[in-house]
Amino acid sequence: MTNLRPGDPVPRLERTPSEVDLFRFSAMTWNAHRIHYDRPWAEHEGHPGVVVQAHLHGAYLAQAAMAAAGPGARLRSITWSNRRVVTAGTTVRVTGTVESITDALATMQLEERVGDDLCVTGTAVVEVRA
Amino acid sequence: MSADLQGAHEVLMAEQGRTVRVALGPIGALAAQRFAVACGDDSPIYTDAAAAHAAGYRSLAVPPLLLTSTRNWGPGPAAGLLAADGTPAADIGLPGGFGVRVMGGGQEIAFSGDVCVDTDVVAEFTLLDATRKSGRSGDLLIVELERRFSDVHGTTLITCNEQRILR
Repeated sequence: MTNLRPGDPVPRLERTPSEVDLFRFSAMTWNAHRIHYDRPWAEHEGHPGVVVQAHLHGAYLAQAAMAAAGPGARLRSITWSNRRVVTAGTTVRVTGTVESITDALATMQLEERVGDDLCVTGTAVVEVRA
Repeated sequence: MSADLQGAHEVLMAEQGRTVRVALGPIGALAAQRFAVACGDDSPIYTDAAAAHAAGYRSLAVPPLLLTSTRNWGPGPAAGLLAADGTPAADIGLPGGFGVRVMGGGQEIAFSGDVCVDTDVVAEFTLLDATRKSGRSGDLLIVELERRFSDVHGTTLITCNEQRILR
């Protein structure tokens, strides 16, 4: 069984998505929204740069939760809210805490920040395995 | 064109409860691996069969958010049918011709089974509800959708309940 305990921190995960990463993510998800790959259009809509996709933020949170849970773990649920726009070239940092573990299901509260600015909050439930 | 929320609401309510079913077939290793690369996820369960088996998968795993991240499972729409910002002019939960813009309003995703690269996936999209509301920034429509991904035997693998905000 995992050594994860309530109160344990979720190991920090950092990502710096580039414009190329965002283009590839949009390509793979067939998302043609121009704010995610077209800088002039993103700026036209008032953003300081190409915007990180909402589900890419979710993917980062999921990665952090799965890494914390260890080998063989399974993501059982995830929910998140995007609080601030994040643009390409920005380093995001995902941290969190194991809130509880019941019947091998670990609930983790997660946050993604750029510097001190909170960008995403979320909750993941991961089934941990021996 | 100003947004006609009333008209959009009427169309959505007529579609409430209707499910659209799409046979997606197997995701495939290349798509799964490309998605993982785009996410910066270097877990070997997507590329190494031995690692996937050691983690309890019957074959290479598919990154958990690939299915719900994908915005459109068809070959289109053609570029001319997209809005100027690249978003679809019409979609499930987004009626066309009413001048509304859509924003994501959050999602809750539940995972109840492994999705591997050879899993034959079926998707079902259901409009659950559409509610008009007034906020500080004006009137809006809250649309609730369910996207369910199952295998061909009908076993649910992933359920995504999401909200979209139309203005």
